[in-house]
Amino acid sequence: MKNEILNLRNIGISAHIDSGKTTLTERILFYTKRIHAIHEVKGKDGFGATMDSMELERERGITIASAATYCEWKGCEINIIDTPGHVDFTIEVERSLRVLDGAILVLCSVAGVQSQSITVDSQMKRYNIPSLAFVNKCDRNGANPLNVVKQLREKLGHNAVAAQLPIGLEGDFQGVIDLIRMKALFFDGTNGENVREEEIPSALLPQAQERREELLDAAAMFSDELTEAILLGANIPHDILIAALRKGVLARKLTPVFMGSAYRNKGIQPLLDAVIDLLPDPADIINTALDLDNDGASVTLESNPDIPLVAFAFKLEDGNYGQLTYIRVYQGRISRGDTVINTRSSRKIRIGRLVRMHANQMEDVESLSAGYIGALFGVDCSSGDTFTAPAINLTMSSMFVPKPVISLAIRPKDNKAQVNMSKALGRFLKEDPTFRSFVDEETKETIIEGMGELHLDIYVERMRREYGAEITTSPPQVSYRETILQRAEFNYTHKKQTGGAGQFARIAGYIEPIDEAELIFENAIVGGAIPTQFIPACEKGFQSCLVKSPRLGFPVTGIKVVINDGAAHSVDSSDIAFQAAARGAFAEAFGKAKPIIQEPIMKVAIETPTEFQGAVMGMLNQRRSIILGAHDEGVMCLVEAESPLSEMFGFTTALRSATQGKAQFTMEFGSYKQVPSSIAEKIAEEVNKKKK
Amino acid sequence: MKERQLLQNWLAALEAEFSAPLPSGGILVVRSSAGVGKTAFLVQLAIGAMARDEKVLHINIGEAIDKVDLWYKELFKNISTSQKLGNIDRLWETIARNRLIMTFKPDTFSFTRLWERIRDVAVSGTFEPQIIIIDGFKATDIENMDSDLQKAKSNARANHTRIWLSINSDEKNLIKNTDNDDNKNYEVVIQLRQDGNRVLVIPQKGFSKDTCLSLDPVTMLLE
Repeated sequence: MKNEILNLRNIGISAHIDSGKTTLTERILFYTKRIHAIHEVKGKDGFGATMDSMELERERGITIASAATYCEWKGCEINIIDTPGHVDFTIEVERSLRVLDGAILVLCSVAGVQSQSITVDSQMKRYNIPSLAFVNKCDRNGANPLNVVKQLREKLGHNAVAAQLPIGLEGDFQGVIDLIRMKALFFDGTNGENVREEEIPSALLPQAQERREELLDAAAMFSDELTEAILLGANIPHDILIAALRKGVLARKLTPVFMGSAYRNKGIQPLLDAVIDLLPDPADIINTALDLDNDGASVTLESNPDIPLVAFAFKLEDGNYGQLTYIRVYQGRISRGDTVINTRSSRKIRIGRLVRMHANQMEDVESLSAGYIGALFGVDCSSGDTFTAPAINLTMSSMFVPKPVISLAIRPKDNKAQVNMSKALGRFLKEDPTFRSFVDEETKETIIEGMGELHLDIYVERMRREYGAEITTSPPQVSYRETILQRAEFNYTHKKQTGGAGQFARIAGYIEPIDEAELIFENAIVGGAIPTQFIPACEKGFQSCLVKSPRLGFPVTGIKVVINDGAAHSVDSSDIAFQAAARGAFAEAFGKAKPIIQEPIMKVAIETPTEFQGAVMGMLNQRRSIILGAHDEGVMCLVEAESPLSEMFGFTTALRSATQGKAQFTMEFGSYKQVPSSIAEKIAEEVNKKKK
Repeated sequence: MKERQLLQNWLAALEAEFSAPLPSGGILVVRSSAGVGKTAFLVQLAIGAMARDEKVLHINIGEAIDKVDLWYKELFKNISTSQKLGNIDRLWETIARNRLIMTFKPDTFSFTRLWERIRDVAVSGTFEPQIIIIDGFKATDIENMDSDLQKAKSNARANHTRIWLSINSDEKNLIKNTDNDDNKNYEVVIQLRQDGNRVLVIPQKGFSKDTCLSLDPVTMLLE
């Protein structure tokens, strides 16, 4: 393993679903001789792509977990993390970008910038990751890579510039023109492994020259030397152009765009050259930590293997032999046998086994130096923890963890399934901060929350396969409430006199609706009709009625209780008697007070291209929503609505389908509102059925 | 429903004063200087229209959706209190679906863009307005939009829609006679003017007779 940071690249490959990330990574591994055969993503050959090691990934043809590997290209070591494209698995992208130095943004030459491209681009911005763009699938019908360059500028605001041009497109896609070296490149051999360089075909020369001018103009913004060379009309030295482009990329002010077709084995080797020439090495990136001994003051870390260690745990995987903790070393060196400190838990940890990962295979190493990514074996910690040498007390900022947007109720089939389900939940919760689980206090259901239906679907499937937990799923029960619409009187006597100590209490008064609280209790007794010592018992009795209404059993809210008369017995009255009387009084009045059911209404905001505004509004209308309005934002618009939570299950998926994945939505609790009478009847029917 | 009738009072009262009903493609304009009550005036009329199941599209230039929504909720609450209406949450829900708010940034608004958005929504069957309120024009803007206004009227006529505009005018430009060229595109023109504690509603065009209306300074309701 080389310890020369300048020849090291830590890169991620990110994109929208099905853009070709995993296929691209497979080709990279093949051309760098890391693997000796190419396998396609959806396991037609029975294998599946190298980086999709999870059985579910191979079956479904999607990347679920990010996977790390490393390879060598022209003397440079490249650590690659291939990430999922589905927004459901966004945490994998977050954690990868947190520790990487550069990225390749893969785009489809037909679909261009898509919804998740926008998301991963925001994620790259969040962590200041310099990137190259690779327009893939130039062999497909409708391929238009230059249009994708334009979309990068217009939709993502990149200063994107073509670094290549395609030679032919669609079925006629043959190779690329390298605008940096002004050569045509073709990819020969069974797997495109032989790169043949030729002069640019004369028919494409004018366009190539025009695009090269654009490239030079863009690069010249970052180099006085280049500007001078251009003005003098001299030959542009290759290294000056590369240096200028690299400066622009590192500053995140320039995005060179490369082109190819990973599936057809074209354009990958020049992309690897660009990774080495244009993406940063660890020394190019300023990484900081907070000094906990100095009020959290910011400290710049140095990529020097000889100074105290600072490493960051960014991913956990719980396997059969214990926990695998992926780390990135930012400063110093971590070696087998070292003792390090987990700054979050302040625990000392002895480093046993240290490995580097190649998809799901481990290779033991003696140490990992600054700039490298590897994994610790059998260390108990959490994602986001910082490990340091004992001499220092620094912590690195963690990654951004988005909030869950969807939930599901899960039920184990039997006791064995319950045990296995709990084990599975324990593991998944530890590995994935966007996956949450809790027991609903009211309904007693186990609820799991995640980033999308696919996210939860995968975990349910993994519970079944990996833990043998047979579970059923259903939409979580909506937390309905009951309240009243009008005032109703009560005059209730609780009497139990069957010999021996009896019970007696009478309470009279009324209940009426209020907005401002769950319960207001008012004592308007005059003349001691109810002795003062029993008033708190009255209040307690009424309070207890809020937990479950006497009608349908939902929690009750918005009630004012006023007691203004009553009676007590000198012997048989007690706290218990008055509590019972209060409960009876409440039940008596509740039914007369026009009780209603209320449901949670969510504030929904959907950002969508204006072309889908009508469709989005139609979907909301079908879900009993009140559409407040739409805010015009140019090519996008923001639709706001108030929607019943009970209607929003499955909305994420429906929205994605209706808007080609281009719309996004957020949902938060707004208020409780009365359910329509038809829905109220259905709810009452279900409740009565359950009672039977 | 009796409550719905009561919500229509203000609109019915004002329309009773018109010399002719506002036709499809017709424009009702409310002018005043800033902060006098144009939005409140139009919103209570809109609530009346919503209560008689007319679809109201409220366009605002420069404000956020929730700000406009708040106007409606506040005025609805005031109307409900003055008319002693009960179960107002339920009542609001039944009429709220007759209103859609669309907001635009001042630098991106144009009538062309507006009609495109309206068409998008109408084509999907989601919302076809009978009344379009355009709230937030400045006098200088609207007076340069003569041909746009003509197109708007023509589109509105074709879609059986009436337009209610609010125009923010400087005080000195407010006192104009009804034959003035500035009002040539409008069928009904109303001016709101602060007069001490009261806000006077001064008919300028399209009314059958002199009308004595004002806005209550507290509730902003027509009286």
